[in-house]
Amino acid sequence: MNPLVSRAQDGDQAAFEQLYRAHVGRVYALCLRMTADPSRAEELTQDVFVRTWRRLGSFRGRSAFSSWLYRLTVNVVLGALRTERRRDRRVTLAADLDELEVAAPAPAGGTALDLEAGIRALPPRARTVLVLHDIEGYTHDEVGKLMDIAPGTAKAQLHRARTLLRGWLER
Amino acid sequence: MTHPDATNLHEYADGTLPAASVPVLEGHLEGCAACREEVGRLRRYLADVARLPRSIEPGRDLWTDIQSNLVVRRKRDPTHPWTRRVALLAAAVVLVVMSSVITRMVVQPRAPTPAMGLDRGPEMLVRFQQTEREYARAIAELEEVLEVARSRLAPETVVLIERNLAVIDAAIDEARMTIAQDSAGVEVLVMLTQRYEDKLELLRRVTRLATQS
Repeated sequence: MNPLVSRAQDGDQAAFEQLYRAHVGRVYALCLRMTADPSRAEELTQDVFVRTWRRLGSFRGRSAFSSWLYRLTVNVVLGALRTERRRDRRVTLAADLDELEVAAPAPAGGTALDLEAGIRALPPRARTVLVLHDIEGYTHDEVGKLMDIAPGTAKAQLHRARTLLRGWLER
Repeated sequence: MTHPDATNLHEYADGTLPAASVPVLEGHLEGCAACREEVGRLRRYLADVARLPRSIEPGRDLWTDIQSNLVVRRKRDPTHPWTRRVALLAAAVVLVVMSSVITRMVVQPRAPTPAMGLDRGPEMLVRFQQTEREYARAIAELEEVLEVARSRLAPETVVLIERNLAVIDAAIDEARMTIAQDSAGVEVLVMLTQRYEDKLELLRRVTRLATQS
C-alpha cells in the first residue's frame, strides 16, 4: 500500500495533506464538471476530502487509492445532486427538471473551452452520464450502478447528451 | 436506404459495437456518406474529449478549511474493519468467559439455598466484576463505532435503537442495584449477563447495519 496512505490511516495529517495535494486537481475537476458550479465544486471537494479522512480506515488497498478516491468523489457528488434534485422538485413541482434546464450561451473561444462550456450547459443528468462515461471512462454498466439506472438508460442518456452537446457547439 | 440506429453509430465510434454487427455496419458506411460523416463527427468529438485536462486546480487552496474539519484520529480508528473485528472478537471472548463463569457458578455442587447467592464468597463477586468490566469495555467499543456511523442511519432507526438501549440499560441498572443491596443470587447474575448480551447483540447488529449502509 502507498506509504502516505498508511501514514494517513494512522492519523498523520501531514501525509494526508500530501495526498490532498496530489489528488485535489482531479477531484475538483470531477466535482466541477458534474456540478457545473465552481463554488459548489469547491464545497464538494472539501466534503470529499473530509469524508476520505473519516473513511480511510475502510480502505484496504485492493484497488489503487486514486480509484477509490475518485469513486468516493463520484458518490459524494451524485448524493449531493440527488438531494438537490429532491429539494428542487419539492419547490418547483417539476416532473423533470432536465427539461426545464436553460442552456448557457455559447462563448467564443477554442475547442477545449467550447467543449467545457458545452458540458456545463447540458442538463444535469445528461452531463453526469457524459462526464462519467466519456471523460472518466466508466462503462455503461458502472454508470448505471453509480446512478441507480439501467445500463440501457445510461447508454440512451449518453447518446442524448452527445447530441445535445453537438447541437450546442454547432449553433 | 435504411440507416442504422444512432446507438449503433455511437457504439461503433466508441469501439463497443458487438463484433458480429461490425461488418454489417461497415458495409452500410461504405455506401452512405451521411452515416460516414456522423461517425467522423463522433470520432472527432471523442478525440476532443480525450484532450480535456483531467486535472483542474480550484481557485483557492482548500486545505486549511479541510484540515479544520479533520477529526483527530487515534492510531487505531474505530471505523477500521480490523478494529471492528477486534471489538466483535472482544465481545465474543467476553461471551465465552462469561458463559464459563456462569456455568461454573451454576454447576458447582452446593446447597440449593441463599448460599447460592453472592454471599457464598467475595471471590465470585470479584470474578463477576472482572467479567462485567470486560462487557463494559466491549460495549464501549461498539458504542464508539456506532457514534461514528450513526449519521448513516435513518432518524427513525436511531429513535428505535435508543428506545431499546434505554430499556436494556434500565434492566441492567435494576439488576446491579439488586446486587449492590447484597440480596442477589446466581439468577440475578444470569439475568444481568443476559441483559449485557442483549445490549451487545443490539449494538453488534446496529453497527453492522450502519457500517454496511
